Amino acid sequence: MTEVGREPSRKYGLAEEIYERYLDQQNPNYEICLGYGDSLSRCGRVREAIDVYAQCFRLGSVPLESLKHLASALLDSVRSAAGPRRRSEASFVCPACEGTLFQPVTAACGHTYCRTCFEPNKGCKVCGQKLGAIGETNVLVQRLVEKWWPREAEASRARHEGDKLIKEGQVAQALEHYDLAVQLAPDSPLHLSNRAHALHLLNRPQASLTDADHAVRLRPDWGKGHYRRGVALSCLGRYEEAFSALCTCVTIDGNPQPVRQELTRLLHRMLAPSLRRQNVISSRAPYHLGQDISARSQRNKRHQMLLPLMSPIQNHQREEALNTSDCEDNSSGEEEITQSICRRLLFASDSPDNGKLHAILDRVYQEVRKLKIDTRPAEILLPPLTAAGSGGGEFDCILCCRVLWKPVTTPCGHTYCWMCLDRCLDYSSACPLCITSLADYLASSQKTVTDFVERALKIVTPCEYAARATNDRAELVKGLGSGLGSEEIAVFICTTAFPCVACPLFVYEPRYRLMVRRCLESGIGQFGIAACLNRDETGTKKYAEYGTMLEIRDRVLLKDGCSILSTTGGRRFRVLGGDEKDGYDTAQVEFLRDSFVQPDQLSGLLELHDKVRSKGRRWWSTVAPSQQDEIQRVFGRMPETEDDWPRLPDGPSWTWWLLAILPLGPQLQAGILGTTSLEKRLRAIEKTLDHMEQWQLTDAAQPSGEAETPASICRDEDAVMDEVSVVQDS
Amino acid sequence: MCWDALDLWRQGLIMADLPRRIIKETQRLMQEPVPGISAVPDDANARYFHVIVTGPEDSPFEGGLFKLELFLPEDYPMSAPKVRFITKIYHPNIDRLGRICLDILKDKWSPALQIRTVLLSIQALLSAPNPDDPLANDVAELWKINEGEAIRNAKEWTRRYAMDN
Repeated sequence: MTEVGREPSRKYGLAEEIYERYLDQQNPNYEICLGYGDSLSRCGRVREAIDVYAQCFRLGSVPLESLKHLASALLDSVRSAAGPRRRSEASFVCPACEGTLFQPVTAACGHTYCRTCFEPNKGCKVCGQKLGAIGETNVLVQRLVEKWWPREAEASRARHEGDKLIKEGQVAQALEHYDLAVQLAPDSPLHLSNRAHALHLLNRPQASLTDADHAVRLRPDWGKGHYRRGVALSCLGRYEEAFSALCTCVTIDGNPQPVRQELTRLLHRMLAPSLRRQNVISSRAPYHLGQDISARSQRNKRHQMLLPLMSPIQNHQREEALNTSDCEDNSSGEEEITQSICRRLLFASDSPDNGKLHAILDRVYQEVRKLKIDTRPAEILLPPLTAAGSGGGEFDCILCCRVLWKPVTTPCGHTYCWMCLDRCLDYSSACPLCITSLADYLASSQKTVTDFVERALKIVTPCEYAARATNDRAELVKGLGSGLGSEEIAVFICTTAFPCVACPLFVYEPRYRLMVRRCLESGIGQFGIAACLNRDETGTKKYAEYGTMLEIRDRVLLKDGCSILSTTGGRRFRVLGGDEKDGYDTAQVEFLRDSFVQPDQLSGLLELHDKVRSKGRRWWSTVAPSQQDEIQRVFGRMPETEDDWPRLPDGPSWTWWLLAILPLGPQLQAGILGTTSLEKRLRAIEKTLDHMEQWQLTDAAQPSGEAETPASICRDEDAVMDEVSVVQDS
Repeated sequence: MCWDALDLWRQGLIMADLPRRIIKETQRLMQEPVPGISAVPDDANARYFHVIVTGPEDSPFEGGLFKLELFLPEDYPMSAPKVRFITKIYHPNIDRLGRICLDILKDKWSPALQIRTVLLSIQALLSAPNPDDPLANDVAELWKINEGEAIRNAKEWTRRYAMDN
């Protein structure tokens, strides 16, 4: 209760103080009293407000509208007096109407609604996410609903048709549909409640009450039934019971909105002097809340007597807390006096009827506190637990022919395994079953598991579903080189990459989209890359014997499903054997590292290293600044020499950086990648640099020097090739 | 015959690392064969099927038994099966090499289609040649200019290549 509008209550607290001062000085006046009552209501001081409003009724006619603050405050206080609500999810109903799904439509968040209950601009009742555009009927859910709950499904159809007629104002026709619904599914409180509503509209309150009573008897823990009961009782002039029923509704639903108006009207009638004289029929609820069923009414009476005795202090405190706002400062003695004076002034003739309302309120608070609230939807539907349910293959994904795993439903209403749909969308943006374009769906990347189907799977085929979860993990990592000692890796056949050097990739081929997704989803985050050497006549591609692992740093997923990867080279490998998996290549590999540098070779190597590095720097300085910028944007700056480079598995990283930017052919690059001798690699780089220098000189000597063309680079390559073949032979 | 083949297939190939989808489709092809179509997986390669399609009634191919080969690529069912006529056939949408011009084998392929549906489509193609979307240009040309002669040719080829062998 203290949470209820703490902020506004501060303001109204002040207003209420002003009213009190005013009332202290003057005689009670209708306007002032009304204002005072409003302020008290807004502060949450329900009981005092009731007294003040009662006084207002004595002073003049109070418009209905004026009691809305009192109704709100009352509902808030009742709601907060109740214990915590637990929402139980163990049903397969529409989250909006809480009944059997009729023409089920799955929202972007994965929750399924009846088509007529689906409001695109509203938030999901389960998860709060905006429902978004309405799609086609979820074919699988519809099939399951009709198979598992045929009568309820038929009843739901009748109910929805009735609802539609009510909206159109054809209440009598609607009643016929509700009659049918009640007949088909007599245990559903929902149809009874709707029929009660129709009867109420037809001005048949007694019949309406009978249905509402029945609904509440069927499901005492369903709030709407109490609401219908409250409305009917109110029409019948049984205000005390109506009041109790409406409060019970709010306690269960936790949502005072729909009840507020009805309660305002009810309070108005109860406080109006002419009606307060009416003899109120003693309340006896037709239902039992809580676990005790036998002799409840008797116990109820005892309870009421015992409660104050059992815990008078606690009870008192609770009541206090309910009726006074903690925002105001009651400590000042002066104010207490003011209040008492004010009260004396106002309620000099405190009527016994006022007391009656207080007594009702007392009882309501007591009842509310006793409620054990486990909010469940109106209809409790569970799939059959028979093993036969799984045998028919009704849960099989049409694409992989296995039990659905992480089922997702497309806007066109078809359900597939998450991974299967992903794979289809790699190849085509059309739905495999109906060819509807899923391009927008793909672009919005709104895929979520269809809650209904997943929960059904867990109940109907628990073992298969659990097995799928385990297998899925195994399948995902299979052939990606994750396992200990497993040297099978996925290979992206494209180009040569080098250790420590960045390698940006644009992934558009379906098979590589799958491969990259698996690498990321499995958490392995790396794959091999090797240069494509040639493609023979049969279309079989051959790729280089040596390649590099690439670690995925970042991935930008484009709307069409392609992606841009930022990767960095890792370990080098040699391919021992190849295979294929779902369209992409896998390879058995051994990882390479440079051979250890012997102590007696170290000084020579140091010298060579420094020489080649300075040559490299010199050559780099001759590169045109615009080209330098371009290169640095992709590969970064030339790395500094690592302190421990002779011990590194791939030697100093600057060598790889240089190899990545030197104009070498794929064969040559792969060859150099395969050397495990740092010395030979340095010599190959030196040779290349020498050739480059020589070529630059001859190029400069020729004034008519042709522009740098791929052909001119190839000329150089031949020369370096000799060197590398020497390197590899040795 | 079907059951024998299925048993053979079960013993020899179920152990292979085949996707469930292919296992299921093969089982169903064996247990509930499509009338007029037989498809048996190869002993050594479960992705390769030996197919026989009987020429549809009231078509120039009636009475013929046409051999085809069908192969499920590594990324099946994301990619269409590769199907080819082995038996020579005079048909505007099938060329000398037995390659078939059928949209569902190319851009209209959907992973929801199956071996079964592909073979049914091929059978339907025999019933309804489409010379407006030709693969064998000479055949299609004749089919358009002189359908009678084309049909006579087709019958002749059927008798010569698709019967008694």
